[in-house]
Amino acid sequence: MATTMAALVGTAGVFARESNASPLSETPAVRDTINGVLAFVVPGNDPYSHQQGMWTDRPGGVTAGTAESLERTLDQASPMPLLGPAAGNLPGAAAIALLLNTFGVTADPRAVSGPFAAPFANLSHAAKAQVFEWLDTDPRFEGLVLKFVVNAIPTLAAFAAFSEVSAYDRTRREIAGRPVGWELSRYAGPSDGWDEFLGYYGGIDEVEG
Amino acid sequence: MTDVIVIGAGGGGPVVAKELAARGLDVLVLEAGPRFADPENEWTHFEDDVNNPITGLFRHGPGDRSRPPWLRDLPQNSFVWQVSGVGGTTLHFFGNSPRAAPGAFSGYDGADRDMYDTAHLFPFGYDELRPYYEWVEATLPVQTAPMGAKEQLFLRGAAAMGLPHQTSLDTTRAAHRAQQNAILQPAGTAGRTHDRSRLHHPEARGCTMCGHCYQGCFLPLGAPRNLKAKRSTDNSYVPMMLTADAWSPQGRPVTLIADAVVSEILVEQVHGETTARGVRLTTAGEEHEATAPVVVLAAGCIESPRLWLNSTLPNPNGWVGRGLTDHHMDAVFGVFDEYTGQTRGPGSNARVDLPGYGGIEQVGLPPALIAYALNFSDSGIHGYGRAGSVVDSAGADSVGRLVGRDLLDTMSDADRVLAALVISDDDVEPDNRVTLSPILYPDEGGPAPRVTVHHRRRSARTRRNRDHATRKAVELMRAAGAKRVHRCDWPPLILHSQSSMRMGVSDQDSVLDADAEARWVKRLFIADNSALANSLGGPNPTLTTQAIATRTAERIFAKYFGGSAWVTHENPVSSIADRVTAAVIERGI
Repeated sequence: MATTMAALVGTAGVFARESNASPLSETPAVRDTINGVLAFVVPGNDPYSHQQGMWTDRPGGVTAGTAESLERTLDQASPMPLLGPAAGNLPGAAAIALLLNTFGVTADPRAVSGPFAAPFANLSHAAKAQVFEWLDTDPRFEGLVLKFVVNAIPTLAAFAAFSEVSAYDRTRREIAGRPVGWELSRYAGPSDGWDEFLGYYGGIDEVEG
Repeated sequence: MTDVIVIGAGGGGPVVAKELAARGLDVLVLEAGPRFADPENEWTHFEDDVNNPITGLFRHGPGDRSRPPWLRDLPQNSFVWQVSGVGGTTLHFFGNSPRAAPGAFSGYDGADRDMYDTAHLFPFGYDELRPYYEWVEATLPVQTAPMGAKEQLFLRGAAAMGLPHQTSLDTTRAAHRAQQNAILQPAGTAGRTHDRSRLHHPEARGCTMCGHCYQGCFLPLGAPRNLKAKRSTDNSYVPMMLTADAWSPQGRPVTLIADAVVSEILVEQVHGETTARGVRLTTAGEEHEATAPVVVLAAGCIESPRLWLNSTLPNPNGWVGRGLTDHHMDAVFGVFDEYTGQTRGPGSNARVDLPGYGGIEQVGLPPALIAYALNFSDSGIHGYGRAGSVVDSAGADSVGRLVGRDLLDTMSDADRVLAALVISDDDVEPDNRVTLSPILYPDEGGPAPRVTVHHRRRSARTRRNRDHATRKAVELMRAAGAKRVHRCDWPPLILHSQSSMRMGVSDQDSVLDADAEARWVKRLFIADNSALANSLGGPNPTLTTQAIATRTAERIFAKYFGGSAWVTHENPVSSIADRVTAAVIERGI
């Protein structure tokens, strides 16, 4: 892994303009990787959750809307090449996918084959956790923007999975159905107000001095 | 001719602008982000739409969301959560307006005086600031927060710990209390119904307890902008500064230009001193220069030092950008068998103050932000690894990122969760700082900022304070009846950024003098959180920044415009006064 990672990361250096970055469409397995992350953070009844050996009987983080939103977020969070020329100067979600898959193969070499094109998505839940432990502690990321980006992957995935994006119409800015994350958390949904007022603590509604 | 240019329309800039406009000065305010002039139609209550920190409406970036945010170089696990646009980071703040701990100021002689960052005190006493607190508290206005279920639960835990109930504005001992918030108290149907048809102004007035403080406040529906419940500056100081001629006898309305990125502060040599003379800015794709006798920098704790450094202004002691404090935050979550109302009501209506250490705030959040908070950690993934963490669980049942079944279980009912934010009195440390990034490509504001925080190597006092306050938060959750308690061990989640351009007693470790004027550039003042001398002993910074900005406005008026002070001689006009409301309605603000 060390040699591979040196080629991927070590040459990242000074970031170029975002326009020099390779487009997402040229990279394989990005969606599979992102779905593998979403299943890891919020497992459900999808094939990615079953593959990792931790699943539930209802929808979880893996939905088309959630994956699309998380990819967009990662692309905008790091629109510059995160990895060096040896890795195609990949930006955003594509760079993150390559990184997760490289570490994923190290965690379990058998992950190169499996139901998904992304090795990371073929891992067990424990092996995925090992990947994130490595990402959280790899000294080669110290001082690089990459440090912030890799740490943010599961955090942004959790945010996306419990937000409205699984059922959100971005054009109309309205939901079309009940978002999965709201169902998982029994969230009543947004309101312009609630009948929550219970008075003032100790009966004191004004303080001076 | 413009008298004063203010850079930034966030928590501090509009305060200076409003005060000086009320005195009759011609003030120009420049804001890099957008202006949300019609929030009822521009904003939503959806979390990703508004609060995705990268792609949401409330991010640090241009108004055009097809473009990336303005990037910060963060060379460590961290996130700086600020908002660009008119209102700045007050757009998503919780309105919490506690006064600072007196121990953070010069001359403090309490028994706990050695508990604070005594090497970096404010260059004046707490008593001097009190009239400015009172002025701002009356202007916003600041009011005692009402109770909902989550507040009652939190304060039940605090009382069970033996903490006394504080019933004063000044904090003198460890205690619990309802927050003093820049949020209008609920009246009429507000807080008494969730029937949307009955939540229109004026039937509903003040806070409707909707649970969306973090997504900006545009309620009650139909209320004039200055009567929206939360007193973010877009609802308070900005309407006042734009209508100053209507409510002040000698007032002049401020000129506000949004989407105007300042890339340089212009200076000249006057009598051998470097002196501010204006700014270079880009708006609508065209570069301009604007000049004025006084420039006020209020771009925030990251952008103010960045702009200084990009302008190559003098920095003889090297303290520009240094000393950044962030309250070394952490978060603790309790899971309860009973209803907590976690997703409803204002963001934070209850607090515990622990003078000398910091404090604890009850925090209410909708589900995506809860999940974000539970997954942000410097302690690895709970149950798998610790990622080299340097802290323990502080008595909680778990620590680290919650994923998989652990996250699902904790999130299984968002309204049976209670969150506590740990805010530490952290030390001013020179190596926690803002510099220019050697990596990121410049944007329209010039070279990008790098924000460095040595999270695991904070001072011994800072680590002590965080550990103490976190243990107290865990204790509070258990005392309130939590069946399970989780510690997040957040990396730097920089929600309270302070003191990166600090005022100070000594010219060896500060950028500003006691009047908030730059030591090395005359006629240049700073009026955002970066001007604070330290982290205030733990309390939230906005009120103190606004009090000091009011004081700074007086100093500017007296020193450069021949005027005299007013705070101790006059009564302030409230931002909800009828004169302001009438002007806001008449002018469609």
